Amino acid sequence: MSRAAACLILLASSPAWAAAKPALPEAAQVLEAALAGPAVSFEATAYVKLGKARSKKAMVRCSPSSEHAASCRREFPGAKAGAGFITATDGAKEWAFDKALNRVWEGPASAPSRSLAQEAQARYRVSLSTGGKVAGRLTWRLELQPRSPAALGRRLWVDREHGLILKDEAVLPDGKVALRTRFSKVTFGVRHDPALFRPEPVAGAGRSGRLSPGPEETARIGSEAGFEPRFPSWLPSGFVFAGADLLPYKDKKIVHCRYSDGAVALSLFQSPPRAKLDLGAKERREVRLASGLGFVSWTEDAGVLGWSSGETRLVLVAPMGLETLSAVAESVR
Amino acid sequence: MGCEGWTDLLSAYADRETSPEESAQVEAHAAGCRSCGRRLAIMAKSKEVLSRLPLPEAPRDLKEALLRQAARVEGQGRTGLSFAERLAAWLSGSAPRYGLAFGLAAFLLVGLWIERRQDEPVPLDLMLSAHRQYAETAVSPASVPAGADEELEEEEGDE
Repeated sequence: MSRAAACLILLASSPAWAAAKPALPEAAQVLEAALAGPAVSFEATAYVKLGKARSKKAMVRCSPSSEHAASCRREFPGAKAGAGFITATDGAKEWAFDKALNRVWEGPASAPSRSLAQEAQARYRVSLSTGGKVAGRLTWRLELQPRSPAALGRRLWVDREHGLILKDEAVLPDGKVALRTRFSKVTFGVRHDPALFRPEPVAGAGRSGRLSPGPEETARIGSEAGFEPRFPSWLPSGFVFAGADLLPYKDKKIVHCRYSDGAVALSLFQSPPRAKLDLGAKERREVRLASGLGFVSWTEDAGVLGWSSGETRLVLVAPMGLETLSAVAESVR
Repeated sequence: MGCEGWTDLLSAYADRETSPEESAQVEAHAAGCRSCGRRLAIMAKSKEVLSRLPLPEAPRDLKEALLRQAARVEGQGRTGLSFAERLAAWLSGSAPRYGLAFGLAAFLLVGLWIERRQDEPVPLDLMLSAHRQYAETAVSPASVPAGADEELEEEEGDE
């Protein structure tokens, strides 16, 4: 054995080298802890970036709960003074406030999507590596490769100490990032006032249901469209019903229901009974939903899920993974 | 009765349509009345000349035409036929058949046009465009300055 080889063996087996390369934990355990959320309160600045668009900044404050989902509050500053969008949940109810519109939404809190939490192992091949620092904190990097070509990939950077997902990327089949959420300046162990997570009294604000319009608005939309529109009974936490309008095409009227969480838009389109859909040349994959077969396709900044319910064609467009799109689709009544 | 009163009777006598008594009266009057005797002679001569003119030949299809016309008149005159019998009689004509065929064709064409209009698929691109427009304009929060998030990326680094 040469002297150089002996030196390398000695160096590799030295305690200093062993400390610099920590033993990797099980990927499944890290994923489970990350999806459960941290057991400690925190506040952070978050950046949400959609495709090629500019990032949007939010202040996020969360407190864990032993009884239900964590309490969280998210505030997006508005483009103009006096504007902004706030969502808050205490785990039981959700509340949102658009300052510019002086409009408030209230409704039951969304139970966590069954998406990753229940099906991650079944839907993805999960691998783990060291992830470098995000927001100044050491992370594990989880790579979630979809087993189905119809699904988006995910990349998660998880805080090694508390299990908080500091960075989350939804990856298109071509490798481009459709949606990225990342934290910066995270502070753990902050004591939050519980009132932050409850609805605030807002003088003179218009009030709406969180997921669907009231009966009068529903009747108006149905009357103008010529058929009864349907609405989802589940949306990811923070999303509210922003409005609906009609999209004319030839002699048809398509209902466009708009939802937002203050940073990301979700659209639900409903075409008249028996109307067909021209999917163009877009590559698409067949997916199985509770109501039957549908298709999924990906644009550069959103997922597109189409399916039929009765005689109506529905199309959901949002920068979300297939699991979340499917959960929304299957809740449409 | 003056001579004017004998005109109809003279004409009937010339056509041999008078009774024996009337014929005796006309002959007695014409023998005594020069004017009526001359009129009677003219009528008899005219009748003789006309009887010697050749008869014009009837068109060969006159009989068939008259029979068809008679049959049509007879059909129009039937009032006791049921609706189905009258409809069948009407349909047996060629003109109604052409009219019905034309109407059916027009109906089918209009139906096909409406069906095509209804079947014309809604392009998915229309929806994607509407979604993009909504995402760009309706979501309210301010964007961070360009490059701000890239600076954040630079903060990252492997251990």
